[in-house]
Amino acid sequence: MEKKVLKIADVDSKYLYEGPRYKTLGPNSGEEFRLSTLLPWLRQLRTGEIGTVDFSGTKMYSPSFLEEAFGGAVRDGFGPQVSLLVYENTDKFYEKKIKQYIKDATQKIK
Amino acid sequence: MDRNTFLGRKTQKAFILSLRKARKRKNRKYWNKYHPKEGNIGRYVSRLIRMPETIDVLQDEIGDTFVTALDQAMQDPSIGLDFRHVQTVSLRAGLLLKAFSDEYMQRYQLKPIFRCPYSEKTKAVFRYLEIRNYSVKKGRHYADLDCWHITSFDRSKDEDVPKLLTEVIIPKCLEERNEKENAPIATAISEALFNCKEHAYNDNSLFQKWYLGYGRYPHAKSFHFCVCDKGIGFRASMQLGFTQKLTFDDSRIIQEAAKGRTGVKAGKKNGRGQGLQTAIENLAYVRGEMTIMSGKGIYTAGVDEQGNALDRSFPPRKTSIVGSIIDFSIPTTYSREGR
Repeated sequence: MEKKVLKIADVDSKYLYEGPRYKTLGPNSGEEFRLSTLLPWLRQLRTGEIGTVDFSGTKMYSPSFLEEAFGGAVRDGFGPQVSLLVYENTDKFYEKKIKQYIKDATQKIK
Repeated sequence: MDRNTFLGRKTQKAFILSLRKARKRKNRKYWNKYHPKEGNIGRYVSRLIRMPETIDVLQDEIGDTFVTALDQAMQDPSIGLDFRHVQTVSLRAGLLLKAFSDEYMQRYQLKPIFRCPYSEKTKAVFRYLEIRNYSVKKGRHYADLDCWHITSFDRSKDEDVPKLLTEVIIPKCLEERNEKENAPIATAISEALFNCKEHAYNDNSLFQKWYLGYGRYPHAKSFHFCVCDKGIGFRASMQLGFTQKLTFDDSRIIQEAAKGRTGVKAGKKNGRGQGLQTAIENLAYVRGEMTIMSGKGIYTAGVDEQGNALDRSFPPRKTSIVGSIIDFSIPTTYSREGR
């Protein structure tokens, strides 16, 4: 299976430090990342491709950012794609957290 | 005609004195006109409230006296605060005092009425917090004051908080560690600061500032961060997510918020409440603890010095704090096991 990688640090240098939840709260927000980067990238994923999010180079993960980006993608109807994502170069704690956010968001929209 | 020949010796003295008085009166008028913000001059003081020797928010009686005095002075600008006997000011009380002073200035266009402290160190604290410009002896430094740093944030400004924390603020306290090691601390503090912007104030709030105070006392085994806002508090913010009126006490409300139970079950905002929970987990990872005060409630979470998990809500205080204060205490050395 082909692997398609989204390297957060390469998208824009501003995502080295992940910001708050919403655009209105400050720069580099989870909402901005979801709308401008994550959702267009998820739309381009073809069946059979393994979507991989690479966190290498990022210096700080904000929980609100991660919840709004990945949990928000589930709320925007991308649940099936997001739940199959693979995470690279991240702390196990955060990988677990992202999966938890996705699971919680999926349960709440049911 | 010469004045000496015109007036007798006594009359001459009286005349000179009256001239001096007139000059003083004139000066005072001039001073009041052009320096109306400079403290107590020309202000009517209806009552002076004596402040305790030690100012802190967490200690029951002292905290109650201090918080009540600030509230009363904010409601009635003719009430003055008597700081003459104050010897010690804690970081969180200093931040609350700074927030009080800024809000007072914004509301009344005047500085609050203070009686100048006798203690040189307390004067230095007021000067350092930019509350008052008391003169202090030149060349005198206080190590436990010099280590304090205060940063203020405004709701109308967009600031890159994580970058500021990681590159500027945290290295000031922990210069010996690298960015990766400090990331959990930066995450926890940035979450508290984001929460201030998101939840503490609404659009109708006149005062929309919050403060971050931080410092590492010399030779201390831990360092402190304190976030202080004068917003709507945890209760009002939590109430937005519930249709029924919340009947728990304030400590329990903070505890529920810290566990991510915000009451929002549907819609775009149903991911709310995860941030503070994760911030506490990050703090626990670095063996730190967090004390949250809002309204009458106090709640502590994290890990204590012995490594035991903390999750404790305290009985409600007598007086209520406007807004909230979040105090982080993190040891300078910590174990990286357990994650």
